[in-house]
Parts: sequence; structure tokens; C-alpha cells
Amino acid sequence: MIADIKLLQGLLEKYRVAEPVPAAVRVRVIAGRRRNLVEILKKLDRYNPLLGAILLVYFLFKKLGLSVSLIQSAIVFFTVTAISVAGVTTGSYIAVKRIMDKAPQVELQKDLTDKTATAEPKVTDKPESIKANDESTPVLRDVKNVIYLQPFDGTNAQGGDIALVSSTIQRELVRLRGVKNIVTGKASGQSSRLLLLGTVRKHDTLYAISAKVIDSDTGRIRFATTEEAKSDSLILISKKLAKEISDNIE
Amino acid sequence: MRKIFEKKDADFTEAYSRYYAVVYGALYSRTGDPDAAEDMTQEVFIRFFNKMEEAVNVRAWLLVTMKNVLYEHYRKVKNMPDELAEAEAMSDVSLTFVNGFRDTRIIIDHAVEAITDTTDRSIFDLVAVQNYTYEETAGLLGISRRQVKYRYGLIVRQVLEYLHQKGIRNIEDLL
Repeated sequence: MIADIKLLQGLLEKYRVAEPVPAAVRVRVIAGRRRNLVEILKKLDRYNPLLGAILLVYFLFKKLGLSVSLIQSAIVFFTVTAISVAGVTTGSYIAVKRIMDKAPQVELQKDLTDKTATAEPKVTDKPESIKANDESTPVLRDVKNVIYLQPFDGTNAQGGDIALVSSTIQRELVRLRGVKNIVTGKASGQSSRLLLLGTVRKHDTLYAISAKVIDSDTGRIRFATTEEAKSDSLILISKKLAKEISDNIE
Repeated sequence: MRKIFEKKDADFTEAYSRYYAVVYGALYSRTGDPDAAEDMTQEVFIRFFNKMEEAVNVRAWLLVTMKNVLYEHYRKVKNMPDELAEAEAMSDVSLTFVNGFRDTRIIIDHAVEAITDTTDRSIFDLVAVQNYTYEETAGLLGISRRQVKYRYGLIVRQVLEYLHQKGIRNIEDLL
């Protein structure tokens, strides 16, 4: 085969079919191919920057020895662009979300540091919303103790009342301490050290709600209290109880 | 909103990509001036874009237009008289090359014209006529180097077989 090629080459040169182009000019042709096409398209008023980008992809494929049409290059270009934009957008969203999730804690810690520097740490430690005893969502504190809340027991009380007290205390604790710091249900082997137990007893029209927080490591009662309530003040008293528990276990 | 490109643009880009180097090389071999060859190549393709619908055989159309552009170049830029400019642009050196082998040259031309596949013809123009390497040709035509080498081997065999059929039994005798 090589002999045949040399034979033909000799023939083409002898009979002036060959018009050899010097290596430097060949390099110039290859390097300036896309630029010249862009100039031609500009002269024809057919050029736009997007077409320029697609041509870049088109000639890149050609250079790699891949035969693609301009339409296929456009599809590749738009697919790659869409994936890149989606990637950047998702990345930015995740980054911003992380920053936003972290920012309040940092500010709060700074706020707490400022406040503990004052004379009355116990008072200033509490957010304004709790001081005012309003229902708005307080700024969550960086609490350390996770409470494992067991459903309350009852004596003479109806199941609905017990469930109401239990769920109100749970909701209020979640509101005050954050959902991460309140564990409920029958899960065993929890990492929480503090156990919240409670009972609801009924005498005539009065309810006695008792709650105690037990340190599961030492068996010591960290906090215990009993509150009286009427049937129409069960929710209010339950919230008050939850706030007392939250304030006294830190 | 205007489209990014139309089908005509895509077809034009395809033709440009296939024949740009061939036209440029042919113009360079006639003028010896890379800048002039580049300008004239642009002019050839601009005319091609405006008359694309008329061009049945793109390669032939481009080469005829190339000769017209070359003629205008000699006449306007080189200030040659019309007859001389026409003679320079249209003449084929090999056919006026009187050394007793004119008939052989015509047979060779016919053998080359028998390459009908456009990609094969481009490979022949680039590798055999203009001395492009397999690698350079692969990059220009958007096919692999291996494919260029393989197809060029088949083209060479085809041309030599054609010459055998025309009664040239021993190629070495022509050299």
C-alpha cells in the first residue's frame, strides 16, 4: 500500500496535479478556519454571538475528528449550557440556604454573649417574646439538652384531656426549644439524657397536672412541678408548664 | 424573534467546512500570497452563499467561482489587461505543459474525477494534491485519522486500477 501511495504521489507531482501547500500555510488555514467563517457570516449579516458559540462547539468537534452538523452542535451547546446553569443555580441555592441557616445562630450567640456580660444573666437570657409571654415564634436558643417526652398518664381524667395536655406541652416545647431538641414516641436508645414524665389527675372540676424531668444518667429529678387547671384553661396551663420546664432545665 | 440560524446557514457551514481548505490551497498555489488567498476564499464563499440553491455540484461550482474571483483579482489588483488576466486565471498549467505527456495527464484527471464520493474527493484533494497530513485532514473534515488513512488507501487503489484499465500496465514507466 505504501508503495502504491508513493507511486501515485510521484505521478501527481510529475503531471502537475499536485499543488502542495507549505506547512506554515496549512497551519494558517487550520487555525483561521473558524475566524474566516465568522467574518464571512458577518459580511452576510448572518452572524450573532450565540451562533458564534455554537460554531466554537462545531469546530471543536471537527478538530477532535467527530463529524457533527451545526444543528447537533447547537443541541450539545444548549444541553451543556442548561446543565451548567442548573448546576450553578442549585449550588448557589444550597450555599445561600446554608448561610441563612447558620446566620441566626451566630447572631444569637453573639447576642447572648453581649447579654450575659450584663448584671442579670437569668433575666436577659430570655428572649423578649418569652418575657412578654406572647404567642409569636421566639428566636430559638442554642439549647444543649434534648428532652425525651413520654405521653402523659392520667387518673380519673378522660383520654382526650390527657392527650390535649400532652400534645400542647409537646408543641410548646418544640416552639421554645426547636424540633431537634424534643424527642417523642416510644423510640428506645435515644441519645437524650432528659426524660419528661407527667400525669393528669382530675378531682371534680379541677385538673392537677404534674410534670417532672428526670436525668436518665443519674436518676436525679432535675425539675418537678404541679399546676392546677380548669377544663377551659387546660391549654393555657399546659403552655405555662412547658415554659417552666424549658426555663428550668438549662 | 429571529432564529439563531436557519437551515441555509447550517448547509453553508457544512460546505464551508468541507471545501474551505481546498479552495484556499488552490488559490494560494496560484497566487503565492496567503493574505490574498484568504480574501479571495472569503469572496468565493460569500458568492456561494448567495447562489447556494443553484449549485448542484458544490465543489465544481466553487472551483469555477474561484477562477472568476482570481480573474477579477488579476484584473483589478494586479492591473493586468483582460486577456492576460483571463489567461492567468483560467489556464491549467498542466494542460499547457507540452512535454509529450498531455494525454497521460488527461487520463489521470479522468481517474481522479472518477472519485465520486464527496468525502473521498476531499481527502484526495487535501492529502494527495495539497500535501495535508492525515491528522490535518482528519481535523478539517471531522473524521478520525485512522479513517482518513484507510479511505486514502482505497482511493489510491481505485485511481491506479483506473489507470490499469486504460491500458497503463506499468505505472513506473510514466515516472
